[in-house]
Amino acid sequence: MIYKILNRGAIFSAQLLGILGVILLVLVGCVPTEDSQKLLRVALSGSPDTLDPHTTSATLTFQVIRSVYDTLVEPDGEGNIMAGLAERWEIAGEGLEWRFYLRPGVRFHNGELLTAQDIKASLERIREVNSPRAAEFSAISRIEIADEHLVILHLSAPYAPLLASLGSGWAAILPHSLIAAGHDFSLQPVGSGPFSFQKWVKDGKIVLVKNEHYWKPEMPLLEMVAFHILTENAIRAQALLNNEIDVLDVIEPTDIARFEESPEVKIERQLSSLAMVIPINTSQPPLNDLRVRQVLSLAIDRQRVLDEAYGGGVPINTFMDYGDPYYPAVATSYSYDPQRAAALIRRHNLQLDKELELTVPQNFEPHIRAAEIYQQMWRTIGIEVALNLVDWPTWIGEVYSNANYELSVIGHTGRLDPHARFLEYGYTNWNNAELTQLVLEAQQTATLERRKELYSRALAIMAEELPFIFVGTNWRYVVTRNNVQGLIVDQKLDTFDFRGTYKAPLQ
Amino acid sequence: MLIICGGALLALLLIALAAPLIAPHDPLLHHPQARFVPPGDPLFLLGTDNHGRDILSRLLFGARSTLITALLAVTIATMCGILLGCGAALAPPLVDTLLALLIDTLLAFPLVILSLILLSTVGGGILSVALALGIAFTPLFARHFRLETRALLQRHFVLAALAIGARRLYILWVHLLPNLLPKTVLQMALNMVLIISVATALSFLGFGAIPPAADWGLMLREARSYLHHAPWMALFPGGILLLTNLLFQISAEFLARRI
Repeated sequence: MIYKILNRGAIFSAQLLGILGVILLVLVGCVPTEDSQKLLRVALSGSPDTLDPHTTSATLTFQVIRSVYDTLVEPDGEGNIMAGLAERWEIAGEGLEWRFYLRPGVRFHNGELLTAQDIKASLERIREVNSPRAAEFSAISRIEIADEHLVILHLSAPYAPLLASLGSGWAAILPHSLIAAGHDFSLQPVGSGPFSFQKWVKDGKIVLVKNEHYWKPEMPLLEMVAFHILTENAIRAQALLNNEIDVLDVIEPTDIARFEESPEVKIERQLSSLAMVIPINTSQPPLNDLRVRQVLSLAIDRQRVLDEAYGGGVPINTFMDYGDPYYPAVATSYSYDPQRAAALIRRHNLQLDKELELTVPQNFEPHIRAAEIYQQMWRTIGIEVALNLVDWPTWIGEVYSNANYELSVIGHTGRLDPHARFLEYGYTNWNNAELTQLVLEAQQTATLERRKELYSRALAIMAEELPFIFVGTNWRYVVTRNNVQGLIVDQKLDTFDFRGTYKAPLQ
Repeated sequence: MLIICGGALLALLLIALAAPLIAPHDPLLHHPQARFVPPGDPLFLLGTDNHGRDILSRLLFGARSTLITALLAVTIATMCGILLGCGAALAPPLVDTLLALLIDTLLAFPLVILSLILLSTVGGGILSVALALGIAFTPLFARHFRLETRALLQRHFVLAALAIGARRLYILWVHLLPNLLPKTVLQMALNMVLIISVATALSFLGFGAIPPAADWGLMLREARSYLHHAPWMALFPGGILLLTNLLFQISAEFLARRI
C-alpha cells in the first residue's frame, strides 16, 4: 500500500513537474535569446484587442500602432503639436476652414503614394466605423480635396481642440484604396509610419520592421521593434533584468529597489497623464446628495491610496491630471479630513446605513487594491461598501455606457487637449448648465489664455460639485536597459516614439 | 496513519470553525504602518501583506471559507450523484443508457471550465462557488455510484431480494445504500483534493471569493504581484493548501486500505 501511495505521489510529482515545465517553456519561449543591436524588445503588459486605430481607445493598441501610422500633425512628447503628414497648416474663415498642406512623396507600406484622398477617406472612416473617439471629430462638416496635396476641413462651428485630436493615434491615416476594399486593419495594419507591421503571434509578440522609405530623413534608426506580451509583472521585471527585453513601462512599485540596484538598467520617473477617480452615479439617493459625496471624499486619504495602490503620485482636487498645463489652482478641496466628515454627518443627520456598491474593473490589479483601501477608509466613518468585481467589457458596458452602478474606480487617460475631459463625465449622470456653457465657449475660443481661464472655472465647478471623488495622478516609471538611447514616451498619450531610438554599443 | 491524518484534518476543521476566536487580528483590517512585515514579527507571526493585513488571521479565516465551501460542494455532489447514479442503475435499460450518455458527456468538460460556466450563471461569492462545484462534480459521483450500484445488483443477496419480489425502493434503502456507504466516504475524501484545488483556482482567477475576503485563492492572486518583494505572501497560503490536500489524499489512501 505504501507502494501505492508512492505511486500516486509519483503521478502528482510528474504532474507538478509537467506544469513547471510548461511555465518554463512559456518563460523561455516568449523572449528572444539573440541580442541584436538593431532590435528593440519592448514589454507590453497585455494583448491589444485590435490594431485598428479607428475602433478602439485602448492604450495597448496605440502603444503598438503609433509606430505603424502617421497623423496629420503629431505631439512632440512635451505637449506641443508639430508638423506630421501635413508640412504646414492654416486656419481661415474665422476658424471654420482648416487647410492642411500635405508632405509630397510620402508612401504607404504597400507602396501607394499618400494624397489628400487618403486623409478624406481616413477621417470619414472614423465616423463610419463608430470610433469611440468619433465625437472629437464631429465638428467637421465637410472634407474638401482642393488638390492632391491640399485638404480643407470645413467646420460647422469653431472648434479649437480639433488640432490635438488630429495629432492623436486615433486620427491615424490609412490608405484609401484598402479602406474601400474593406481591408481588415484590426489584424493587418497598413500605414505610412516609421515601421511596418510584420506579424502578430497572439498573446506572444508583435513584430514591426523598419520602413525603408520613411519620410523623415535618416529615420528610424532601428531595424526592428518586437513587442513581447508579458502579462505577469514578476516575469516582466525578471526579463528586463536578464537582458531579455529592453523597455518596460508597467512595473510594480515594490520592484523599484531591484531596478535601482542593478547597474544594467535605468529607471525614469514622470507624472502619468491619468486622473485616478472614484466615479459617482449622482442620479439616485443617497449619492444625489452633495453632502454625502463630500463626506465620501473627506474620508479618502489620497496620498495613502496613491502610495499603496498606484505606486505613488500627486493628489488632485479636480478632473484633470496634475501634470497638465491646464491643471488649475483649485480653491475648494474635499481632501482627507475624517473629523470634518464625521461633523458633516452629525450636523446634517445624514442617513448612511445603506450598503453601497463599488464596481471595480478587475483587469487592472491596482484598481482592486485601491478599492480595498477605499472600503476600509469609508468603514472608519461608518459607511459600508461592498466590492463588485467585473471584467473590462462589462465595466465599459454597464458602468461607462449604461451608468448602471453606484460607485466605481477608474483612471481617466490624458489627452493632448483638455477639452476631451469634458466629454467623459456623462456616466456620472451629473449636469451643470454653467459648466456646459463654459466648455462650449472654450471650444470656440482660439487664444490659449482665455481657454485656460474658462477651463479653470469649469474645473472649479467640478471640484465643488464632486461628480467624482478626485484621487490623484500616479507616477509612471519607464525602465530600460542602460544602452537604450533616444526613447520618447509621450506624457499625454502613453505611447512610444521609437524613431530616434537606438542602442549604444556595449563596452 | 489514518488516525494521524484524520486527526490533523479534524484539528484543521476545528481551527477553521474557531477562526473568529483564535485569530490574533481582524483578517480584513489594514495596518498602513505595517505593510510587508516579514514573518517572525511578534505582532504578526506570519507577516503582513501589501495592505498590512495579518496573514495568519487571513489563513485561519481562509481555512473556514475553503473547507466549508469544499464540504458543502462535496455534499451536494454526493447527494446528486447518488440520486442520478442509483436512479440510472435501477431504471429501465433505455433510461439508464441515456443517463449514462449524459453523464459521460458532462465528464468530457474540464472541471474548471464547467465550474466557470456554472459560476457565471449564479454569480460570485463562496456559496455560489459551493453550488457550482457541487453541480460540476456531480457527473463524477454519478458515474461512480452507477457502477457501484450495478455491481451490487449482481450480488446474491440483492438477487434473492428481487426474487422474493421486494420493491426496488426497499432494496435501495435496505441493501444498496448501506453497502455503498464505505465507498461513499472514500469517494468524498478523494474528491476533496480536487474540489479544494478547483475552488482555490476559481478564486485565483477572480471568479470565486470577492475581495477583500480572506481566501487562500485570493491571497495567492494578490501575492503574485509581490513574489520577489514579499515571497511569504505566496508561501503560506500555498503551503497550507498543499498540506490540506496532502492530508486528504493520504487519509483517502489509508481509508481505501481499510475498505
